[in-house]
Amino acid sequence: MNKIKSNKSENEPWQVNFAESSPFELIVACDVLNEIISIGASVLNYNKKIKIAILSSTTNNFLLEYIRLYFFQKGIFAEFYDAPFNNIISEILDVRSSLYSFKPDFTLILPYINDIDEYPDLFADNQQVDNLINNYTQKYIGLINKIKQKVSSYIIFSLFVLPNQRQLGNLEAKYKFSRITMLRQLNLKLAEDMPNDVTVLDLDYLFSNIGKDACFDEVGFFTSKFAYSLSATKEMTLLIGNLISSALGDMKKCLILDLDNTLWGGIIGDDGLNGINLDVNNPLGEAFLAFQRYLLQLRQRGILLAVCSKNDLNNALLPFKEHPNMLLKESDISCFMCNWDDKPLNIKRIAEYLNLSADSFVYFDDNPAEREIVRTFLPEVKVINVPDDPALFVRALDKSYCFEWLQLSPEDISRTDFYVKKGETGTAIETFVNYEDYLKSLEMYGKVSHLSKNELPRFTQLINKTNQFNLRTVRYSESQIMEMMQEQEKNILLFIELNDKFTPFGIISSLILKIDGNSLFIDTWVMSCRAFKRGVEKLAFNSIIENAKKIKAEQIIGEYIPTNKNHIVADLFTDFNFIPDAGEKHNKSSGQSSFFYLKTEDAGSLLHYIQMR
Amino acid sequence: MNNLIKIQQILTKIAKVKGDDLTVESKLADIKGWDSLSQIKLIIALEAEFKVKLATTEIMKLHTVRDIINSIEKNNKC
Repeated sequence: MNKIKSNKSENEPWQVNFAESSPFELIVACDVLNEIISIGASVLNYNKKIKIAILSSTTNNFLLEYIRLYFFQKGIFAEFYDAPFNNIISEILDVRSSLYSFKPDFTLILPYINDIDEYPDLFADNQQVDNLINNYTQKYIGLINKIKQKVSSYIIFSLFVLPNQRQLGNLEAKYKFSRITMLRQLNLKLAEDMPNDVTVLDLDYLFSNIGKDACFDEVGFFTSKFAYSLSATKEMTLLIGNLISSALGDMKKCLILDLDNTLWGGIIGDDGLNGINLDVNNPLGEAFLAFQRYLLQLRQRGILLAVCSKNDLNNALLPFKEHPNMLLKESDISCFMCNWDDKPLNIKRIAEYLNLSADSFVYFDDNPAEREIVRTFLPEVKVINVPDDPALFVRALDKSYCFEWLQLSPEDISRTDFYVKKGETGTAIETFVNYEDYLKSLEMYGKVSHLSKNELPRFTQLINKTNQFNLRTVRYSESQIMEMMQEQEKNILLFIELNDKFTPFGIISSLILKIDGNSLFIDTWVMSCRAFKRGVEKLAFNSIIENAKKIKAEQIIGEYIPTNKNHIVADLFTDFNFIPDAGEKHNKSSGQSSFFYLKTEDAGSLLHYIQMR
Repeated sequence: MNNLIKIQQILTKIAKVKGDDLTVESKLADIKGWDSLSQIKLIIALEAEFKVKLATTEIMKLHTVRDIINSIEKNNKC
């Protein structure tokens, strides 16, 4: 099936981006959802139903609604049982309680700091403190065992959130009898003694990460008994939602990484091994290295790393093989997908190679247009909202909750010793996606124009910077080009602009055509790598033919001078039906040039999907 | 857009009441289906829309639309 999926849902007003919406926007979306649910659930589409019981000593309306909204966006209808305020214990011990008849799939237990009614005396000895800790621990574990006896539910037990106030101030760090220290130790003991199949929710860590002061809403608590602020509730929802999703089998297992300006500063194809930034004495270089260090940690815990980059494969491998500061090695990457095809196609190929479904992937790319393309065509892939500053890459990835697994096993860790696959192109896996439909849906539009002074800098820059799509690698200065512009009877200088729905590419191709008697010679034809595989070269070809016809040239002559960087255009002329010079052997690697000829009258117009403006 | 209209819009979203039915004198408790959850959503909406943080005592005193307008204007002056 070659359908391209789009995740724009016009009919579902609750489909806001959960992570990026404000807490208030989420409430509005929840209200819409509630309204529709109360009309009658038959108008809603969902694939699955889950039952979640929440046992807590504070009000949970918003947590409940947020979680319902979160799951509804995934096509899951969450039904809730919200245990009455302050009744945790009686709920659990009473065999007739409605908790048990509800038969939850998931039981979320959220103890609250105010449940701790006894703290050690000041200067209590360690034994006293330990006794208190043990008593509390046994109480909660006893309750959990009781639940497990009666109901086969997944249990998520939250640790205590330490308060943002201290009786002894900073001194509480030192004294075991102090409240904060006792609570820390209680949390440790609870986590340690909890049965292995219970998920311990570290709410205290989460809130510390966000900032405790932003998580407590005293006014909200006193007026309505809400334990935490709405923004804290939102983050709780994301964490709990991801944990429950893992339990339901929806787990991310592989991180797909771009290369340029993601793993290192700069572009390997343009800047070369010595030009990319992995410099330990440079702030940006250090930021990229810190990111690589974090990625190594992820790899160590069993998350597969894959590379998906628009690059020549050999260029892409160079830093992994030869850069002295590079931390990631070739063997750390389970799949290397480097070619000029667009990312959705390549991600599908990676999925096939690694035998994983698209919803196992997380995608990290510094380029917002690439991210948007992946989001649009592969909505099951989790796309990280990468910040502009590489210093914040680790943070963005860590706070995405995408690798919240329920346990770690030695098998998980050995999974990364997978086969390492490298690919330039897929073989039989060519078209998951109908490429023509894909190109059409990009809504590209382009323009070919004669060069004027305004575009001179960019036109010249392209000629001097481009190494890959460059037939003759002849460099010119701006003044040389200006001279050519003035000799209009000898030279035709064209530039091509490209835009699509996602990116304004601007000027991406420069052409210099020389009029020589009754021939038109392609002196220069360069194109930016960013525009590969879009059909721009066909647009350029059509334009060359048009110009040849205008000046009544009988033939068009092209020359290819091989370098170690431009083999991508070795077959360009033959692909466009030019005839190689019979006199010379068409030698791609010797550095000797080859000539190609096309009779103007023989030239047809090539089909492409770029609208002309 | 003046404050009354913004407040009417908020109340319409929360309680499904028609904005035109609300006057400055309207009592929140008289709105059909108004409960404590509506009250909480009102506070959240007011804080988001007007970028204010309402104190406990202020919240306790919000009974009519006029009370809301006064509270917002007082906060904006400070």
